Amino acid sequence: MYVAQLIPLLVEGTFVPGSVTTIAALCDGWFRDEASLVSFVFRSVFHDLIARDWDDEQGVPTPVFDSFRGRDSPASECRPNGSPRGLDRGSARPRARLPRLYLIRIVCRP
Amino acid sequence: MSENEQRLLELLKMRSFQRGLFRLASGGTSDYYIDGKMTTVYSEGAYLIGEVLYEWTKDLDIDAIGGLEVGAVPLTTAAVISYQRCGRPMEGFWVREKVKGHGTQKQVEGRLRKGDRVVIVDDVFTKGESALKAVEAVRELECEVILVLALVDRLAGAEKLLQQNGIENYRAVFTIRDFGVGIDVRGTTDTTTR
Repeated sequence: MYVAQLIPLLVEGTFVPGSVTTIAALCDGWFRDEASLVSFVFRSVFHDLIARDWDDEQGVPTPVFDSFRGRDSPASECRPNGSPRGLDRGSARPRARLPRLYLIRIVCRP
Repeated sequence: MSENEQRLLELLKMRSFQRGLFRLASGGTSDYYIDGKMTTVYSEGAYLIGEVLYEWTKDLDIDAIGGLEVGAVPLTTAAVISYQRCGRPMEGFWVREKVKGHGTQKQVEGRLRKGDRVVIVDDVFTKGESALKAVEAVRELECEVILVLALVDRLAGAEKLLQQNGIENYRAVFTIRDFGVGIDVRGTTDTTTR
């Protein structure tokens, strides 16, 4: 249930700084109801963003946002159909890293 | 604009107004950011804020001034000190973003009582969601919000949001136009015009 609610908030084009509070709340519920390493990691990631003032109404510096979205975020790993992207847009460089694979596997193939 | 307001605006421009690229909470972009705390916790800034908030609220029949943590905390402190300096006791309070899971578990810190008439303050208003959280928290305590007062309004929808939630008395000491910034009509992109 939580994963289905999270995916639309995380896909590229819909993920915005203003979503982090909602996402963190969903992750709280996910971890509470389905405790696992992955739900714990998700919850930690988004609470960490809040701790870094991503919930500021004035937003976050664009380079910080782009960096998160481009390299560290589950947002860049999901497509609306739920399959992982796997490659950078416009680049053939594989994006597989172990932590990210955890995120992909759970978010996109629960 | 009073002398205190003019000097406070100078300080805000010098210490708090930053250029850069920012991704707004909505996903839009902005080429500036106002770091209010750079002024609110500076000695002259705190003094001026207290004086200005006093001037803007002294004629109201109110019992308390406060707002959402963290932005409203230095404003509240500055305001109540100015009230005291002018011989008028005033309660201050601040609203926790989240209730602590231990201790008193209060959301509102300070001596607010049912029926109190309050002013909600904050340093920078964008959409007004932070102020609205404070409004809702004091309404839970059955207090009456007499005024919502922004130090700086980025003119990104705060007034409308507050009106939609029953706040008819909303004012801003400064708006982003005082900083020479124009507002895109779509409300998603701010452009610096100076």
